[in-house]
Amino acid sequence: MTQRRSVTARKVNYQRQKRRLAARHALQLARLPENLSGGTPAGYLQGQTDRLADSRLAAAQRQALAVHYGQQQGNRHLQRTMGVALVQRDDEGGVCGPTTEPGVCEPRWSETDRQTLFGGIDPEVITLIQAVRVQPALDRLSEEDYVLFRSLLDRAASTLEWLFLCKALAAHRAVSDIEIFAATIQGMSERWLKRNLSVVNTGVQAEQNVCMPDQQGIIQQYGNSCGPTSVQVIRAQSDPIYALSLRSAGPIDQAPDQALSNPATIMNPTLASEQQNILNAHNAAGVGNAPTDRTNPTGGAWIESNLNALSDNTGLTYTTKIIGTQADQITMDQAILTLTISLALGIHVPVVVGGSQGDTAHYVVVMQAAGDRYQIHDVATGDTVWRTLAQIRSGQLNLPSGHQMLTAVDVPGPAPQPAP
Amino acid sequence: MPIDPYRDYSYQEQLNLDLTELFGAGWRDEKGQMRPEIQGVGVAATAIQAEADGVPVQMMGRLATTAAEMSLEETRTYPDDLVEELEKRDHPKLAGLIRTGLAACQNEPDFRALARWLALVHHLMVVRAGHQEL
Repeated sequence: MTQRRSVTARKVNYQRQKRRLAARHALQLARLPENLSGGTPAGYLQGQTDRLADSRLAAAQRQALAVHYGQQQGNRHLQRTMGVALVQRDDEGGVCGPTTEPGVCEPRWSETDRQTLFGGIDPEVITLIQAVRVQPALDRLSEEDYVLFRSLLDRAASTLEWLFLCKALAAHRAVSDIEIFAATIQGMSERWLKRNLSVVNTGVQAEQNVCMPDQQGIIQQYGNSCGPTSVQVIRAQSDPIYALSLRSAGPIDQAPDQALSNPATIMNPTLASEQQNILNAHNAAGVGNAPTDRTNPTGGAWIESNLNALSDNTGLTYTTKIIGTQADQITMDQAILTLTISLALGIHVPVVVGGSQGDTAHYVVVMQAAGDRYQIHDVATGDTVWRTLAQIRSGQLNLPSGHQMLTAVDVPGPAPQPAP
Repeated sequence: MPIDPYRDYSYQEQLNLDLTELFGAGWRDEKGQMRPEIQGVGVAATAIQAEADGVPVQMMGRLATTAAEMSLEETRTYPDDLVEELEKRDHPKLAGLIRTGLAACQNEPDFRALARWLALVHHLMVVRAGHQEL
């Protein structure tokens, strides 16, 4: 049986990690380009958004800047910077619960919590937009749920485990679900956590046409379920409990040629049935095609309504914008700007690709950006690959599915605010 | 006692079958197919013994999913990736069987057979769990 560390040892280690993180952030802030390191007066929302999205920033510097904003002006300000819904909180970062003294608000979220959370931002774990949703979600909990959730955080065996519990809360999962989840992931290694709580291997560095077979991720089960699979990517990368449930149902990186005509060959019935249900619903509504075998790829469905149905999990809504020259379309420059800003904030962006402008053939998901490189998960093959800005602009994506050109973007926006 | 792939085994026999020699003759036969004793009685007995040992179906699903994603090379670098959850959740018998199976892998096609075997065990556990609910 695995020997557990004592509570005292864990606390000492925890404090040590915090000090290391603070030192690392200070170092990264000191290395910021000159015109990015200035003060951050309240109200300069656009300026701060631009700074966070600045392509000159390395991931660690962007993370440090986010922590800096969070420390200086609170998560509330940071969340507003990113255009995300807010909840009512008092100015000191505390909430008044039924057990607190009259007139005294005990903070539920400490400075240490904040540092741990923002210090843990990592594409493979929790993104900036998800981290910003944690504190409002915590504040909305009943006192009973808060006490239970806090006890789960206290029992987390590692910072990574702690972060995934926070991510589940940010996805608005019920604390009762998170309690079961916490028991499942308790004490598991970093490799296990990163592998099992995600459906895309965002740690892939490959620039070649396809990634290594052991780096593949979720794959569409039908000939036309690229859209529904992209919905699953968006949901699973926001909600680790959902990601774990998909992976618990069987392999996610394999697909039968004939899932429709020979369903017995399906390896992961949950994965396949969700994709099938989305396509069938669109087909029944007359706005899409029923699923086909992978041997017979054809048109599927626009999936923005499905993405928007996840807004409680993601905090986001998506609007499809075709790239072109007509009045209701966006230019390639606007599409790239949307990608750059969204990815800097840790928002995954479903996009449509095709053979030429106007050819809206296939959904893929852009997972992250680093400098002028963009990481794309191609759900047709399960490959995660990097492509450069120049390749996007020139229509030479050469994706594993064979598509070359970015033809539409699902532009993210803030979800409607929940009722107070 | 070696497993006879052409004999019917009762539930009780499968529950008590010593599976440690299951991979003794390797993963695949001379035609490159998974050996019949592994994909037949081996799958059924493993599923029954895992079920009796309290291995959750979901845990078996994650095991099959991870095996499908990994390569033999990666598994040799990170041998704990496959069995970590089983060992930490106190299912050493199945973990030991999988470690034995890993040791019997000579090459990547052998490892692919192992991954497929785990998927078959998972499938059978899903089917059996469904039947038990009826």
